[in-house]
Amino acid sequence: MTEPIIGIDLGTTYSCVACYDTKTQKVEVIESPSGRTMPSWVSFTPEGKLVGMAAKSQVASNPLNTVYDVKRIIGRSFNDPVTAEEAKSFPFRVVEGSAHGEPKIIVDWRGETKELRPEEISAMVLAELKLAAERHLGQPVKSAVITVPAHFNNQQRQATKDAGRIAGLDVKRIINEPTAAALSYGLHAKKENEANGTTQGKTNVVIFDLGGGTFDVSVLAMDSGVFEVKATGGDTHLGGEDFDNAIMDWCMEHIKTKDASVYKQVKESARAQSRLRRAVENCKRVLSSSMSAEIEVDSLVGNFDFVVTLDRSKFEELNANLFKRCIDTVKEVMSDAACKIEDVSDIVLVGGSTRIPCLQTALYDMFNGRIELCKSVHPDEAVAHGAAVQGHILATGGSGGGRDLAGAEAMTDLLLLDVTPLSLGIELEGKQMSTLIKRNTPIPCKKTRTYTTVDDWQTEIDVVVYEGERAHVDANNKLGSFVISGVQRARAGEPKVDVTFALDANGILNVSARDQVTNAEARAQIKAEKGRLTAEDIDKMIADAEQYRAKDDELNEKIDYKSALEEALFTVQSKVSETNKPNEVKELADLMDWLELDSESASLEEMKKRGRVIEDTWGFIVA
Amino acid sequence: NNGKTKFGQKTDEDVSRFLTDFRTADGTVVDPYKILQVSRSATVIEIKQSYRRLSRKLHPDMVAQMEILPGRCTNLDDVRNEWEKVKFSYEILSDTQMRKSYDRNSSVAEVLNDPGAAVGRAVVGGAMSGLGL
Repeated sequence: MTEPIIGIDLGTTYSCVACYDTKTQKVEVIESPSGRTMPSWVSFTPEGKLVGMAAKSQVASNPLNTVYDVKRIIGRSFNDPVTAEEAKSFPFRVVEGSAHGEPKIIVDWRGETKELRPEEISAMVLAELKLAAERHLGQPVKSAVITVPAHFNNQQRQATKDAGRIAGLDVKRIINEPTAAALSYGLHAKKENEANGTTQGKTNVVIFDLGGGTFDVSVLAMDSGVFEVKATGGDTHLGGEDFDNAIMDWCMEHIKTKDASVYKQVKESARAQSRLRRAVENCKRVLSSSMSAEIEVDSLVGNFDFVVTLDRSKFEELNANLFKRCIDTVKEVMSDAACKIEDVSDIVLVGGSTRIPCLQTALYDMFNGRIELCKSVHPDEAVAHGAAVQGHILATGGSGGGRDLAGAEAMTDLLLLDVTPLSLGIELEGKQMSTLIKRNTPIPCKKTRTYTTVDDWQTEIDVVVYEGERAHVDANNKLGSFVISGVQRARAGEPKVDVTFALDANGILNVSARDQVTNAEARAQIKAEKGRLTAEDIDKMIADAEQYRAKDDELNEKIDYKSALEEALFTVQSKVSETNKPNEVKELADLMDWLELDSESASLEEMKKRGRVIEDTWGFIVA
Repeated sequence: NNGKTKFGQKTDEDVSRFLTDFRTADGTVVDPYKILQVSRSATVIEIKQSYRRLSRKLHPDMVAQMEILPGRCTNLDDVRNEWEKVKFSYEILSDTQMRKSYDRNSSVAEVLNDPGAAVGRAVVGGAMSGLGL
């Protein structure tokens, strides 16, 4: 049997895992204890850590140690303006790491102050999803395909891969989220066509992926099982949370005009902020189906109850510029793909924020109302589903392992031709960018170009690698640099140095330079300028994660058991109030007191002892 | 020494510069028509179809678990190089400008490769071997 390769959608706000199930011969989304999608949240407590819904639901009581949205800063340096901007709005602390200038998140964990890198937080989310997959499949999982926004740069992809490794996963492939969604959509469309007896013709599909934190647009051509990405683009910093922020600001203005002192208190209280944010997020969701919704938080601070009504048109007005940015991006990507409005046969909506009616209307209008928006794929699950499809292709590719599936989902027929989202090149004298690999080039891809020296008798050259679309390197993103020495000693312009860029299927770059005459050579895998993890760093983090795993499992079990205990007691309570036996009333009161006052620091064993009392006294099984 | 030791733009002085844009990473010049197995007058649709058909056969993902590799490939790196040639040929032929430029420059190179033009032959030799001429 082939080893399973699971597919993981590691989202800014929510994550999701899927895998190919050999029993049902289908790709299935796996339910974790948090549900089919899991908040990408991790919370640290004196006893251990909580991941997913458990972390998110207790944020108000532990705002400083509850970490979320790390995808917004993963693979960025601390000095990156985006990191600084994010750090301002996070309730948890982000500091500059001492060694390489990477961002580090400070939390209190098990009574100690710990500094964690964004990769480690993401690894905790990944480990949780891996565990869910293992439970579902009944076998260990070692490999995964992880998705990233199409617009993620080299460092961000590297960092995501590292997070996978820390979680104990061999990351077989990093694929773009819209591409994954397209695979999921394509498979669906293929099956539909087969059912109707029609053959799938050539189609151009626009994938519009607006999630919690990022926005991607891709144009794909699908032709009998070959998925060719024509162009991709987007915004690594645009999503549902930005809509929330706009509403938050509006609420804060509202509070300010009502009561300045309350405004100040809310501003300073992480707890009040996070409570308000949850109400705002709910309101936004409701506005996708109703024309108006209430934002209501009782005792936001002190005795101040916050209630306000937001109607849909006001919501649209608050976010009008963000919506416009989305539509403009679609136009740009269409033009990159040399694809005309009338060439498009389908628009696929992915990501929770595509539920916003105003955006749907804008897209519908953009295509002159000619095509219905495709909602046949699940907006929250399509990316993970597609990643698992790619995982299955990689696990069986060409081996004929998929042939037996012909009746179910013949996935081994599928081939994905993905592209690189940003141009890659080197710096020439005068800060000029010389592009070797153009954006939207299919990957894997290798390119060589010949360069020379600018000074007489120069024997060393700096190889400085950049990604980006601008002619001036300062406007692009520097990926790294190395030096080639031993260049032929000659007049300026004489030596010939071949520079080769090799981009692998994950979008990760290797650069080498070789002098044609002296054969002097230098090479480097391009890593983030600052804050890249070394192999030793990763090994240490893997060891740390292992060490705490057992304790975390116990904590999770304890929390599950505690809620079971609570539930049992409430059921028992109604029973006891009927029979009203004095000894039982007392027993129950004792248990209730214990649960309320002492259970926080109790061990699982102590809780189970109480559970057995309930079982013995009332014959009620606690589980 | 920053800013002083950067690369300079290099323009080939010999005739092989005509084909610079059509070299693969290992320096050989591709014949995109031959690689995509299409005629010189092939339509855009024929080129696309051939690209996709060959990709199915040669893309590294499609052969990763295969016991017998396609063609003369002995390892996955060979497969990747073969596929990259297919992809590169498609890039050339699917871009009208590039295709025109290839058609023009490859014939210039052919003329220069005439047995009489000994000097031309010496410098173009490397480029021509890639064309299989």
